Amino acid sequence: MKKNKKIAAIIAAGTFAAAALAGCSNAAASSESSNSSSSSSETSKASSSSVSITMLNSKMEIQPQLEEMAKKYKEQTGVSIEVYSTANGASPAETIAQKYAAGDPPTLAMLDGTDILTIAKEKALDLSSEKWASDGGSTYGISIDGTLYSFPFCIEGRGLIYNKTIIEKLTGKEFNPDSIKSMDALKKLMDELVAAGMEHPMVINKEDWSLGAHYLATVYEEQDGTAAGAYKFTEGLTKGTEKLIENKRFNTIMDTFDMLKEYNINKADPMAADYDLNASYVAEGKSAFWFNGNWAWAEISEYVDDSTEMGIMPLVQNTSEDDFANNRLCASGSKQVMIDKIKATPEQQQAAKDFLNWLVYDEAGQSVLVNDCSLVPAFKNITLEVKDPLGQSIKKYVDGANTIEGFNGCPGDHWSTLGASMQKYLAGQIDRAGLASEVEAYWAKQAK
Amino acid sequence: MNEKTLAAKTKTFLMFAGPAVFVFIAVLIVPLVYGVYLTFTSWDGISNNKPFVGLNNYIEVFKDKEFWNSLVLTLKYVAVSVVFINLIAFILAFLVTSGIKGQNFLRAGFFTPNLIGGVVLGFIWRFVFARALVSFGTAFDIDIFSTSWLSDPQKAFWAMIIVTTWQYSGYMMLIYIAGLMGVPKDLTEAASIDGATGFQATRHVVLPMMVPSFVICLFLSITRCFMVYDLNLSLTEGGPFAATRMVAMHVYKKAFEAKQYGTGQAEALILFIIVAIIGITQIYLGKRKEVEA
Repeated sequence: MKKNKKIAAIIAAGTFAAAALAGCSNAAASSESSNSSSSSSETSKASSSSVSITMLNSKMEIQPQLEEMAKKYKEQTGVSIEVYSTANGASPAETIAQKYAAGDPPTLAMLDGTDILTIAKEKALDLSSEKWASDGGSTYGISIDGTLYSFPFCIEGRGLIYNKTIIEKLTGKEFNPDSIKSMDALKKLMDELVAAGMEHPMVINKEDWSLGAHYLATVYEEQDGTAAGAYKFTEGLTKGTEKLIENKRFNTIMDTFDMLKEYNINKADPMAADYDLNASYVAEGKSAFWFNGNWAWAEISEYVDDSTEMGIMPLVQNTSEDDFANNRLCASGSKQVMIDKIKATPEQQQAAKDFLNWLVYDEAGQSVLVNDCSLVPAFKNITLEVKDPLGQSIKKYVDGANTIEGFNGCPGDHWSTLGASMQKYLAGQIDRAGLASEVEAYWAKQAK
Repeated sequence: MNEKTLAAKTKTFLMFAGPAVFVFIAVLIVPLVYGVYLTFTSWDGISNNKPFVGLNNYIEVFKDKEFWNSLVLTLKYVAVSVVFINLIAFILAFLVTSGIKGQNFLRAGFFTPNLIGGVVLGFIWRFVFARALVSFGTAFDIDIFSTSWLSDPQKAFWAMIIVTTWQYSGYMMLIYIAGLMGVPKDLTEAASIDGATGFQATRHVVLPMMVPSFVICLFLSITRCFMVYDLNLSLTEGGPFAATRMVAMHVYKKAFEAKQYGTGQAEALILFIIVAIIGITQIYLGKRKEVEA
């Protein structure tokens, strides 16, 4: 009797353990089988076009609009898209890494340019032969060795945001940003503004992304205005063949920075700048210029009234007037969508491609990008008017092909590491030579 | 019967400890071993290949000056905040067990900061340091508050310590209260009959009896302060100019931003070993001081 009980107990314990073990393996197996079953059901249903695909969204602010879009798309085509966004605070890179580690990657992944560069060769579908590639896709999308791997979801540009209304009010003259083509011209205008009673016409962010990824990166991008040129230059920094302090572009850009610093509204304590306050300064006319990009409209629009005219102009420098840096804007495809080729079935891949085409060529799709999400589209054929004034500025430069190519080759910690160096420079903790040597040291560390 | 044979022993063991051992292995040992394995690769966190690089990552760690700087900074931060947390917690516990009016209300009040999560707490205090105190300082012309504490490396470090102390001292206070209440009344009475003053009774009777509380509180505050990340992120973001970047934040940035997963993992392992050594030493030394009533 006693023995029987014991055996029963052992069996019970064994079953538990087995169940626990099976729990794990089952989960894996069942997800496998559900994968395969769903894909097989998709194969059968593909003819009736009811494929379902997933999309990772890394622009959290447009998540509601994208969910709405998915509904519309389902009605129109029968293909269902499940849109989910990156977890709060997690970068797209982390999210996509987790998704691939879990074996459940999204069919369409909206990522930053650098992420595409790291993973595309292994995981992304070749999109070179898509129709939209020739309508702007290949210009603003990301190619590696001549193969296009991503769809540019929107264009974002950066430069000096200006408040036209307040400038005209204070100077009493019409303000034409195209007439400001050198640092001296900008300085003259700022002096006029100061004379007219505006104490600090400039706003500089303290955020490391703004200083590191946007201001400092201009130095690479404006070496010759192409991504290839930027790549060559950073290669030179890595190898130690480029000397930053002797670099002409670095010096003109930092000259402008020094000048802007003098007029900075946060000059007394530049590291205490507050992003929302910065937006209110320029929106309400307490200040006239802000170094930032068109995404800042989200914050500006909370403070601005409808009669205020605003726009973005290039970060001007004391070079010649026809220098491209004084005429063209740093604008590039900022969110890139790639299609997974590891787990997605051919049907899903096709559905994802169709969806991208829908965004570019279908009126409803165009309207999602431009009207619902207020983005600046990267495609020539989209003629819808961009809604916000900063976006309109960008669109003007994009349409005139007056953009400076974005550079995605910075390592992932570039913005925070060198952002900190730029912060030190902004706060007067290091001088230009010190900044140059920190930047050079950072790149030298990247040598493999 | 056969109850002494190895097979029988194994059966009994599996019956009682099997499930727990299995779970322990699955959620602790396997990830740990895998983590250690990753320190020998140059994985970027997403690629399919995990190239084996031997001890390269550990050499990288020793060359990573920022890691050691942030570790030293963290050591300073831990040392200062552990002293403040425990000092204030003990004083508070002493006050709210001395029979002052409204002590239950005060206990709840002091404990409340601990109920607010680190991230929210960081944002609240960021507002206090960057805006509220600055307005106050400029309005009344008080020099030390007229610029944001968070824009100065030294002051930002102290801001971290103030908030940490504020967050944890209420929690440690609870443990000290339990310790104080646990000192048998007959001992303190005997001491006062023997003519000990209040201070002497506290110093020679109450404190020795409370050593277990100190050991626990020190252990908790040391480990928590070492691993601080949420507060660091939401209060200072490691700034200004990365001057308050604690070691956990550095490891995170190494692994996920610089995409040097192997090096980050190696740094995390080294951090783990350091914290384990300090924690165990502290408990070992503390336990030796424990006395029986």
